[in-house]
Amino acid sequence: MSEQQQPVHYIHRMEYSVQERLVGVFLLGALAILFVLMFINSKTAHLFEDRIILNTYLTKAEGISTDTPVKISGIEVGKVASLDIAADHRIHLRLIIYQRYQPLVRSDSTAAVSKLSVLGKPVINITAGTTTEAILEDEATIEVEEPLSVDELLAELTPVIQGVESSVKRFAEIMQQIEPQQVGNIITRLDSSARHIEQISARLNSTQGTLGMAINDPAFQQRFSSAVTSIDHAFVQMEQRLQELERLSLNLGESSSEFPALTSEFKTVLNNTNALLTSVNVEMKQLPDLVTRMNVLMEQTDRLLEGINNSWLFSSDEGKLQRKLIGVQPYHE
Amino acid sequence: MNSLRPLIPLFLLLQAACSGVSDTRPEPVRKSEYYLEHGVSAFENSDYVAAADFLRKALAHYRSIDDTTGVLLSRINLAETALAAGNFKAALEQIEEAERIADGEPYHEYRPRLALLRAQTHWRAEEGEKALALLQPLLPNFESDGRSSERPTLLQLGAVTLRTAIAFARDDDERQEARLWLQRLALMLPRTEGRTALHHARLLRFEAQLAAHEEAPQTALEKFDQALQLYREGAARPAIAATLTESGKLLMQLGRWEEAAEQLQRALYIRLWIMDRPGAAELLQPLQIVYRQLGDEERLEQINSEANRLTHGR
Repeated sequence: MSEQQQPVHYIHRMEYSVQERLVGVFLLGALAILFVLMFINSKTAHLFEDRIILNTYLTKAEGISTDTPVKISGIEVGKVASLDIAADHRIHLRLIIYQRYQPLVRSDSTAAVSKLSVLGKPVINITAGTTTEAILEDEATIEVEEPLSVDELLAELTPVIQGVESSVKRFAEIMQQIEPQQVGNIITRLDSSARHIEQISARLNSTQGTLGMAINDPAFQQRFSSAVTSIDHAFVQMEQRLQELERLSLNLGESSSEFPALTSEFKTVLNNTNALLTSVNVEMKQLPDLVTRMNVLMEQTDRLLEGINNSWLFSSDEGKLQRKLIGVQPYHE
Repeated sequence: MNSLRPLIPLFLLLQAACSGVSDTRPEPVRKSEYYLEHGVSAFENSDYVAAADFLRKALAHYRSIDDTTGVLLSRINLAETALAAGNFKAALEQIEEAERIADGEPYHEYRPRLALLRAQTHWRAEEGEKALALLQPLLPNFESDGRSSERPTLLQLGAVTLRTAIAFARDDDERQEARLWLQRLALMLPRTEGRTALHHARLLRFEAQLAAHEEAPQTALEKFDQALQLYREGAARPAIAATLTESGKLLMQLGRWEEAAEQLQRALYIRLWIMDRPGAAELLQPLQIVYRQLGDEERLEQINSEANRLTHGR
């Protein structure tokens, strides 16, 4: 019986060429790098770093989570490790501080949750301690200044708003003492006087010839006499107006007695506003940085989306806009 | 679902990695091109307001990087958009600017296109002689049987279409000239590469006009309807409006006032939609006649106030 050759599946006859092996290695290598890059992101950047734990207690932890960063002088030095309820029903936060930043946290350091945490991403800021003070050890407790709730923020603003309101009221009272009718009358009379003066000056301007001729001109004499009478009349009117203005200034004088009290109140309001703005200012300083980061993020997203759009899986020739010139139009009318 | 979340960035990265040829050109170039292409796309959708907006941006961007070709293309497109929206003054301004560029050596190829655009603009602005003079060099040579001696281009087809429209508009009882140009156009169309349904629809409209003149109104209305169907499929707004106007006017001649009013109103709506003020104003006179015939005072009043608004910009 002749020995028949068994058919072998074609896959067993194939051999990898060096090129194919290289391609395989390259592909696997690329994928491995991809995974590594994904793994080493910002969250895992401190994975192998030595750390200490600081404890702190809050009565409310609005917006705080295990992702909340801890910063000293704007540098991220750690994050919130855990949140739980303490025996006295306060919120117990365990803060991770990377060991290389430990020398910055001294016994006179204080922590504060950013004041605008109710509006955006919260941050726990720790003040750098003075070098003469002792370094806080692992598991030490640090005092924390709690953030303002929206209600408290509004409550802080209320006296300022009330101060402004009372100032406005005072101004309104002063303005009420000045009678608009009186002011109107004065303006009308001043206008009338001005017109008289204008007429007089017009008359004076229209005089022609030398002084000798003018003196000899009886018509001029008559006009001059009339002008002098008009001026005289105008002066009488001006005197009356001045008397009215004097009365008005007396009124204002009476009102001005309230100015010192008003100024003092306004000063208090300004001081309050200033204090509030100072506290808000610290938070606001981070805003440009935030905007820049957002910009970068948006640009990256834009590029990624463009890449996706161009990729073979999502792109379609139909959707692509490549025509740059409108085609010749059949004349429609 | 949450367990799949970590895979999303991986998927996106793989996607980006699998992208086709990545565009490495500088951002200003890509942005200018983006506006230009979207402007052309908006024009093709008969959205002239959006088209003009995109194209103006494209022009500004191309000027900012001193890209002469981009500027030229933007200006031609802007002229085409202005013409479609009935703004002849703006169209001529853009054409003049584009011509200055096209006078330069590398851009000579755009000159015939600009000449056709200028001819179309002059014709719409009722400057027939200027339009004819400009058209003459663009027309192909024709054999005695009406065929063009060379294979026609789309530009030549556009030129012959305009020439046919001029022939139809001329006061000629026998319509000899119109018949001649219509025959030439009909022979030319199947031989032109890149022709579209819109070209066929235009031919049908000419045929309908001729049928109306030859007192075959039913044939004319059928051809108008066929043209309208083709235009609707292409959503060619100005062409739909023009067809409805012609059809409406024919219905007026037939004394079918109700139908005429309906067609003309539809045309008016489109003209107002595309902000073609001259086109809308042209429709008001026939509409006034129709509503007077129908004794519809309320509609007549509306049309009069619309006329006032269009004339005085109120």
